[in-house]
Amino acid sequence: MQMEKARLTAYLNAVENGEVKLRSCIALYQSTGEAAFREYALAHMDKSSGMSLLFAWEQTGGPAYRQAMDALMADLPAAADPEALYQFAPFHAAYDVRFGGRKDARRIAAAFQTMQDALSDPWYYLALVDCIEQMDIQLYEHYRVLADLILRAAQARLRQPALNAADCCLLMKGVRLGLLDPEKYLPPALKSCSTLAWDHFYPLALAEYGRINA
Amino acid sequence: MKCFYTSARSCTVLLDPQGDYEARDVRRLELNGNDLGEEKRAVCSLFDLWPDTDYTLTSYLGGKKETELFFHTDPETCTLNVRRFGAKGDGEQDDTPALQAAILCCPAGGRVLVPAGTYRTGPLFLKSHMTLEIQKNATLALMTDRAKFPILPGMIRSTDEQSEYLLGTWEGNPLDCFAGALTGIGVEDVRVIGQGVVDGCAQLGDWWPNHKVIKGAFRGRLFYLRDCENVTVQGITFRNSPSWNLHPCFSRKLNFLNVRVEAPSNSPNTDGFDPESCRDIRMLGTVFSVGDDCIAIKSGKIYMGQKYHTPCENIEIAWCAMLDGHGGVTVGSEMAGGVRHVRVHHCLMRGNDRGLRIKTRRGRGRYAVVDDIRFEDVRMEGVKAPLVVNAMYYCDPDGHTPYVQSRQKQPVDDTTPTLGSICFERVRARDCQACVGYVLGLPEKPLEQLTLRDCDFSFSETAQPMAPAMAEGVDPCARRGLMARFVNRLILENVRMEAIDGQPLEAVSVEHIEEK
Repeated sequence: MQMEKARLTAYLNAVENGEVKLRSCIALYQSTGEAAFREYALAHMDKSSGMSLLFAWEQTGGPAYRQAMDALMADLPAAADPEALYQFAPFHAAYDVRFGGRKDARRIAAAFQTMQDALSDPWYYLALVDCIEQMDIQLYEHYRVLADLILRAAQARLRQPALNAADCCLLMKGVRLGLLDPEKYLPPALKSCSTLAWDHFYPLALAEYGRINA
Repeated sequence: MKCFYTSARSCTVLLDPQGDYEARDVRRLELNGNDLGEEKRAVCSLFDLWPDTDYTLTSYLGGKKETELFFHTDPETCTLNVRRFGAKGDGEQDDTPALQAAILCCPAGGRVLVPAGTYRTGPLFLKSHMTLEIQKNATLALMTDRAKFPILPGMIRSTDEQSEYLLGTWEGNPLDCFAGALTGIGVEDVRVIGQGVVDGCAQLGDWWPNHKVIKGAFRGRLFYLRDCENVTVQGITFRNSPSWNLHPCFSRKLNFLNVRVEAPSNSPNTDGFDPESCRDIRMLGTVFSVGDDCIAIKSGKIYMGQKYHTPCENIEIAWCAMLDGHGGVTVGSEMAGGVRHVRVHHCLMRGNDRGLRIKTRRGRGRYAVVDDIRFEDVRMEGVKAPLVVNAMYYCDPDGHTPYVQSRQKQPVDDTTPTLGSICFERVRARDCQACVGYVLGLPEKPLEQLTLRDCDFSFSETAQPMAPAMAEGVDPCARRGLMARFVNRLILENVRMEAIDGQPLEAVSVEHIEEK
């Protein structure tokens, strides 16, 4: 797939939150291999609050990214609300595993536990799946705290009348990470995704290509 | 003489209760009048017996009849020879399907017979009420291609998502691991007997190099039990395991009789016998020569300890020889469910770094209680440090933090482990190197009672310094006495130490000392 750079930029500019934008871009690059996503991410590092710095460092080995990560880690904002958790917890976990000697898993798990009243907040449960992906499963007692919260969040999502895009992300990523039962959680996620696709993504694709490949 | 165990085809007898692995004297044995030759061991097993039959075992000492033992073998329903199921035992053909089919087809009270030959096989799964006999000159040679190994998932949620089903495990956590050569899941009344070999062939595969890199799943054990009951392993030699050799987990009523466990001294994590959250275990007449601890008694890391708090308890280890492994008998460091009532007696430990080694640390939790650990009539030769108790073991990522290492009192809470009573009686250790003992409790929860009674320790003239415990601030030492810190009650009765440098007892923060 070749995507026109200007068009891509236009889509991504429509996403308000810088961290969401970059992480989406990186996820798209990782699942499609489309270089434009990588380039866009690398060109917008000024919007980064962590995970994308790690991506840039892994992609380029640039010492400036490592320094930026160290600086961010040294002055990591407190996870005061679910959005901050989404912004910083996955980075904190990833940094801790790679450079921090895995000393902070307890703290990271505790932050999620403390804020578990926010279980139905999309920032919170997206933070959970993004963060657990970065944790070391051998520190199991901490890993398991997040795994159990993910299960509770997913159960709560299924009790809702409809699933939004964030819900689908939680369920599908939970399944992909082996944390949720695919037989139970995948069909509703896929069903909602296809609805979301018709409503949102297919019109974009139509505008881009003039047709949809069925 | 005493008969410990009989099956339809075998028995295990104690010839000399006062010997250690070896009996004090060589005996000649006769079975129903037939000469069996000389026997040097204190505990021995006899094979090739006939089911449901009366036997008389006679022992002769110095040409004179010593004693007689009468026993009757168990009945047997039938024998399934794996050759009839298509196994070739030629070392070439993949014999897995034939071996597994024979096991699954075995009726209650039956025997699956593996006669002489080399059987190339993938992992096999045991079933209840059967005997697997691997006869003399028969080897189960484990394949080395990971693709041939099923994975045991660490944790599977129950369908109602209220509980979990655990299968795989790695170092005390429920994690995906490859199946081993022989696996029992929820089986009972099983025997694995014979003079054959279970060979993990790990030296031929990719299990040991770069072992910290996880390729697909964690490494399997050679013999793995989960939630099993009444299992006996008798006579078998286990060698070259991908990781731990014998790993019963959450199982009960287990016998390991005259087993041999062998692995190269530099092979990673090839512990001999690691019972985890099991109870009622007898390990008798077994020889260990491995790359890690000979025996390590465990009960899980924090998740398992807090969720299931299932201790490892009622364990008898006797007439065994621990040769060359790091630790003779180790407790921990994954012991969050507790370890208690362990009696090690009439054993020989030779060339180990440590004889008894207890490892715990702050954070292991309130179920992490180590209590009633006894060494009696144990002979040690060239064991560098016979007794090491360390409540500040610097394992895990936070092992070097003040939380784990501080010598200042910390609050006692749900994360504090407990060390109860530890006793050495009639332990004779010669050619020690580092120290008689290094004991480090916790200031906020000292070791409750340490007893050394009727013990002898002497040192090698060429003793090399070694740090006896893995805790911060523990320097290498040589020819030191007993160093004890944070102990409530220390009892020393008739303890002799020869050729030591310095004081026999270096006690710091030891509440009561009784010396006789």
